[in-house]
Amino acid sequence: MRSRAPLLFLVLAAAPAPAQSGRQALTAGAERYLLADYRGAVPLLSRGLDPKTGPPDQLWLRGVERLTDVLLVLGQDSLAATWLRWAIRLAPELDVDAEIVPPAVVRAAAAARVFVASTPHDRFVARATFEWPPAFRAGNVGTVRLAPATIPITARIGADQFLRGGESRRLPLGSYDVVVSAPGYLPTRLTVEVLPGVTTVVAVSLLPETAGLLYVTARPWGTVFVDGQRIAYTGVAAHRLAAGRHVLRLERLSGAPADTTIVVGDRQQVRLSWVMQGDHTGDARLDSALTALDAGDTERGVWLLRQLLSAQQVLAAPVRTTALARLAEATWSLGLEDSARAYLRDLVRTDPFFTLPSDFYNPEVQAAYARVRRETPAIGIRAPRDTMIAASRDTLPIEIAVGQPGDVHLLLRLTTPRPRDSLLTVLSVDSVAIARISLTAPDGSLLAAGSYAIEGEVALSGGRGSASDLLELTIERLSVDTLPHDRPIPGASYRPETKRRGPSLRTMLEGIGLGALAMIVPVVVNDRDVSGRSIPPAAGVLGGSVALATIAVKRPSVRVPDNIRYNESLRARWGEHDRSIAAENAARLRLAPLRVCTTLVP
Amino acid sequence: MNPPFRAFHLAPLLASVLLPPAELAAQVVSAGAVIAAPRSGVRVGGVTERVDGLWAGLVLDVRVGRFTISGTGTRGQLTGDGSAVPPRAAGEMSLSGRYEFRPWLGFDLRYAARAFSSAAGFQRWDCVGVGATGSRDLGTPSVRAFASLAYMPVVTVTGQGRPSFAVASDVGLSLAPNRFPITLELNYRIDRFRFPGPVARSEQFEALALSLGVRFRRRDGRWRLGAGRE
Repeated sequence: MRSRAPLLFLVLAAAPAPAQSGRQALTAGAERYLLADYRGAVPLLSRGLDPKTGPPDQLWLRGVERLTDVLLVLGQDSLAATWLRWAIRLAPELDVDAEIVPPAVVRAAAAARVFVASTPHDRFVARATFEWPPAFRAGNVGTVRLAPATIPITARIGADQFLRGGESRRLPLGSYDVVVSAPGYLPTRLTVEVLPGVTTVVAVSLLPETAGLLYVTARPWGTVFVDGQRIAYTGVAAHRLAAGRHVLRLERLSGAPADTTIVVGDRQQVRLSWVMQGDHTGDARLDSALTALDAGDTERGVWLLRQLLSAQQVLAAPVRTTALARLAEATWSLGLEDSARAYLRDLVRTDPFFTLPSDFYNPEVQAAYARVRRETPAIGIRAPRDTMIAASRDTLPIEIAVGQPGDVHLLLRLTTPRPRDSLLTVLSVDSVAIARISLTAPDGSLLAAGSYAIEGEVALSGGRGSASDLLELTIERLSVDTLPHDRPIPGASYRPETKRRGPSLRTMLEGIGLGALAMIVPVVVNDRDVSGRSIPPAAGVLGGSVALATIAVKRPSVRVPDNIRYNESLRARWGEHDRSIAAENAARLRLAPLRVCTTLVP
Repeated sequence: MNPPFRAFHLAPLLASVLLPPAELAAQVVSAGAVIAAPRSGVRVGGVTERVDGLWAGLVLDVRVGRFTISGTGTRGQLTGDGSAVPPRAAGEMSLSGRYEFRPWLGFDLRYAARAFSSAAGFQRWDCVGVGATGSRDLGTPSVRAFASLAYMPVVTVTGQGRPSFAVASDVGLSLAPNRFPITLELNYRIDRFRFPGPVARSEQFEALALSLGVRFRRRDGRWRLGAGRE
């Protein structure tokens, strides 16, 4: 009996658990997942994702990832995509951990995020709730129900399905566009996911056609409540409000909330502004656009900024970054999140060092910027514009900012003796880093004065390309007093190291022989009868000269050790002093300050 | 113009002819003055007549690699032992080329024009000779001894036939110190001729000459006073 106990435990553990709570089901599903019991894990994970069991937390997120992975493994990729869209619509901040989940899940999550971003809905007019089945079983259909309303509403689901308030329809799994309308009211549109066995309840509160529009601007940002219901962070743009009296509250991180009562007329546009101090950049066109935005005239501000950015004229970097940041914020408040992300990408590429001031940009825009930044390949490098450093002990700080994290290579471009790049350092940069560069050549010597360039290149993970930035560097060596070198020792100060010895017997014989030979030639040619002499005197003079010259020149020389030692000590003393001067001068030159000017290459 | 003087005046022309090679690179040009004690003797049928004197002139050497071209122009007065021999003006112009097969052995080609003029008449000698020169330094490259022998196959003398035998010798000692751009040379030359005919006739011309010159070396495309070894 004892030997059967573990087996019984396993059987009980493997049985479906309809009575389990959502979190327990997620835990049990995770165990099945880890045991690679995928078919057993699907119903448990599906049940555990019931949003009514609690807010989406880390365990819930892991459950979504595991369910997606399991469905992809089982070949049910469209169902996996549907679950992911549903989960992202429910928890927009959902972000799968690329370090843990398989790449297929990461790709599916990215595709789902794009889909959800392209199908927004007005959550103040329509919302979806979900009724979870008591137990998940294999099936290919779910249910959509249109909640009843006080007015006669009609919903069109997909292309050809129609529902009236209170009716339900079983539909194949997937995502459906739902348009709800009623006579005299503004229609609303939303996208819902039909999940297996789950009833998706669409509840709407349509606004009358006479609804007005609310615009709220605040700097620093705040949270807007209307009639006690949280609307959004500021800026709020084109938010529809039913005509009538409303109480509006603006809550900030610090300070007391601001309450005000507004009366919205039919189709009236109400603009509220809590801007303490507007931005003034000095660029008239940009300032005009910012004034419009600060006044709550969001559409006009967006139009002016788009005009400014699309102009042929090249904008200064600060003007362009400010324009892009404010344009991204404004388009985000209009619900044009995809366009806002595009402007944020442009912003990252324009200036990777740019950071959104946390008190001026709301958390949603900040989060979008952080996400876009980590997805955008970009790099910027900069250094002090004009600085003085001692090359031997100081380093030049190079600030590096990247969009997408990666390994950054800093290269020094040299032109002599041949054009080439010399690698200075490699460092992994997540967002911003500082590299301290020694201004020495690859051989350790100080960099000569001149113009150089430093190139920063970030290699994106997975070999997905690279981005680079260039910084021009002008190095000027400031003057320094050096010691003059001693003059070379005059030749007269040296003692002769050799002296001539007396001629040897051999030299004398050689001299006499050569002299005789020099004399024989003319003697042989001489016509004694004509010249009157057997040996011309000139021949004797020549022969004697040759003999004497040979004996005089060919005297062997002998070394004089004392003089050699004396000369060597003289040279050594001079050389030692000269080396000490050279060393002192080298030290002074190493400590000589360098003036380094940097210019960013556009 | 007196023919000997005309021959002597050809020396500047000769120098100008030698100048173009001086434009070549890696070469040494030396120019200097020469003073010589010439002696000329003629023996005809057992009777000998000798004259001697003092010559002065100019010498120009151009050395390009292994080639050396030399030109010499001298003139002077020769006088005999007694009043029976009239004094004569004499001049000589020579042009010679040498190619050194080895540092100690060279091949020579030489042309010399010598003229004598006196109250008795004018005589001109044109000699072309080929020969060899051997040289050796005496313990240092700055001091060299040399000796040459030449055969003169072509000799023409105005007023008489060609010699049946003509040789020349030249021995000497040259000094070209490294530290100074000067050259100093002492040489002794003998030209010996024998003429055919019923009456035995022999002539000999000899000269002990001392020349002092200045060397110019072309380096890096510029001419400068040329101390140092070649």
